[in-house]
Amino acid sequence: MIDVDVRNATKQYGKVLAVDDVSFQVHKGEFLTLLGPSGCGKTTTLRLIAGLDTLTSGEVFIREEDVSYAPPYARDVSLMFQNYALFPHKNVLDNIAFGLKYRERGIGKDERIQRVQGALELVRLPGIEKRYPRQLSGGQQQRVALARALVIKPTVLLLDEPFSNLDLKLREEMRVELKQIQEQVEITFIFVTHDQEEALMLSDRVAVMEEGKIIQLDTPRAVYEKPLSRFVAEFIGQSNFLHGKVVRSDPSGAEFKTESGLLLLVPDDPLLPTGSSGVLQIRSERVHIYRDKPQTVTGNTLSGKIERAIYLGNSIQYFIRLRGDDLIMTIHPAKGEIPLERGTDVWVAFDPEDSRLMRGT
Amino acid sequence: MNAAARLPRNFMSWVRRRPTMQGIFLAAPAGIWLLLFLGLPLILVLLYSFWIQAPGEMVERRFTLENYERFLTRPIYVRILIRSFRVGIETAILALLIAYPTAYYLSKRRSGSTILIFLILVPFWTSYLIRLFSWMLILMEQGVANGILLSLGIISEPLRLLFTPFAVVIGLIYSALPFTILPIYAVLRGIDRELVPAAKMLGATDIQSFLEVTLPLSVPGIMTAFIITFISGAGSFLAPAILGGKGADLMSNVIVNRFLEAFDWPFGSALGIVLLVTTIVMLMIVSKYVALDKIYGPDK
Repeated sequence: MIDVDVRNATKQYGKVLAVDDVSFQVHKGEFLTLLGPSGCGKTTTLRLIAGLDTLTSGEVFIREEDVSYAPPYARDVSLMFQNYALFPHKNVLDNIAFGLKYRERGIGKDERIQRVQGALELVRLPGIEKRYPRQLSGGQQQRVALARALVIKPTVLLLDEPFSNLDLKLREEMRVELKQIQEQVEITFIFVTHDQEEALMLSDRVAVMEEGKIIQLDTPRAVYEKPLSRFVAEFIGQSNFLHGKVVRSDPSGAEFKTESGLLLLVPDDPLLPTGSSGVLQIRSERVHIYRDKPQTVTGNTLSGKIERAIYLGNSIQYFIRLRGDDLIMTIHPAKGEIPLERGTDVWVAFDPEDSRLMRGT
Repeated sequence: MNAAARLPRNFMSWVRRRPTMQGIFLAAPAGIWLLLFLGLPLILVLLYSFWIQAPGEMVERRFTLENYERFLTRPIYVRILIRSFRVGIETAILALLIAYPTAYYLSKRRSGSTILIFLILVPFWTSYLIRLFSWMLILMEQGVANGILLSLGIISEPLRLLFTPFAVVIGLIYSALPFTILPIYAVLRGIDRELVPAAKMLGATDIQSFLEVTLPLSVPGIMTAFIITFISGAGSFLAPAILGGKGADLMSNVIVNRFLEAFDWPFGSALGIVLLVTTIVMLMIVSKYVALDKIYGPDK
């Protein structure tokens, strides 16, 4: 079943297209993430689904009902705000019961209190009904906000960067918990973030947005392994990019010559015709580093000199200046060894299958 | 280094290490000012109110409650006190009704509200007296207000607007509006902009969101505006003197009259103390019913 169906949604502010012809569908129980840098239109898209912003054109369906121009209170969705937006003059009970009061008029006071208690148990904060928002820590406020959004049992829960105000440790905890809660309540989640790690970890599918458009919508693995553009590759994970031209392209394989003159084997998917210029993307963690020329490795083997080594605890980052003057970065798990020194001559190698050829420059 | 240069520095560091002393020094200019020009005169007024004006322009300095007795036993004074409060409350409520939508509108604007606030404050560059006189021109029998009403056919003969309690309230509302708009505007601006959207997401309509969120959270601003407007209304002197008729005198007019025309300083002082104390009591009652900690919940 399709819970949310966004068709050609467009939002214009003056001359700025905040959301530019965006279409996607979200299945029941799915966790979809809108990922992108600030200003890419992800929050506006969310607010268009919520009804807090009005579409310039396009349509929004929730469970096959056209809600394109319905007010927020007439849509079966709930939104968790970035700053939580808890009512400061109401205690936790009244904050969470607010939605029940207006969305489910039929239920009595006892049931209302029961539902609030149930929601607080779900977010593991029982017994704080009488407290006021300013008496709670940031993490607690967030849980209350989640409880308030979930207690009305919406078809879809929208989450607008809910973790961005938390410190790293708490954020990591909350991610795990949010995923568990989502699996428990079986509600469709649309989650907005600029944090790629969050997106990869939580989502069933990720929609990467740039300048108001969705440029790739796929599973986390596909988005990471097969980015459709340099923007996606740069936004998610760490990569090296080498510019050049395809010099051979036939079913047996393809070859790529960088502007600096390196000749590299590249994958034949996608196949670019001979002579076309493009960018070769190589994930940093897929570049291996050797002190001596590796004999057993197939693929691309290149020599260079370490220009900088950065020790990061669990990994070491090397910037290696290649023979043709290209700079390549590798991330390499640290197993307690001393980082190679700057100026050391090394070899780097990578499998053509771990690189990707993209059009453009 | 010589001793003269060292002393102030030592003194300053001595002060800096003592937060209480620092507080005293920072509050001193305002404190001294208030003590000299508010505290002392008030004490003098209080003293006078317990003395008595003897026949023959002499103030007899003996303790007596005669002035207060006189206030309580002559119904006219109690009536004027009640009228002062009524005018204060009318002014405050009407000014709030006008100011709240204005402040709300200003707080909703994405830009340009500074210019509008500036325009609201512009009339205050003109003397209050002149502005009251211009209200005379508007309200008098052949004035602007009657002219418009007549030409629209709403009335067939000029209304008596000037020299009425109505004119006084109009003048008071006019002068109070900026002080009513600004505190409400400031509080409305401070309300988290996502709270109303949050209420709507939870099923509340526009009006319900306003009543559940915006209105209760703006109560501190409403209270401030109410208190300022009420005090300036109940204690006003110029507006009743210029726009009010014979029966429109408020406490301040009577007090001025006691001092400057009857030369009865002790009785005038007693009336002043009565106005001060009753105003304070009124405000205490109001603030008890609208306890601010009920809006935000108890402290941590």
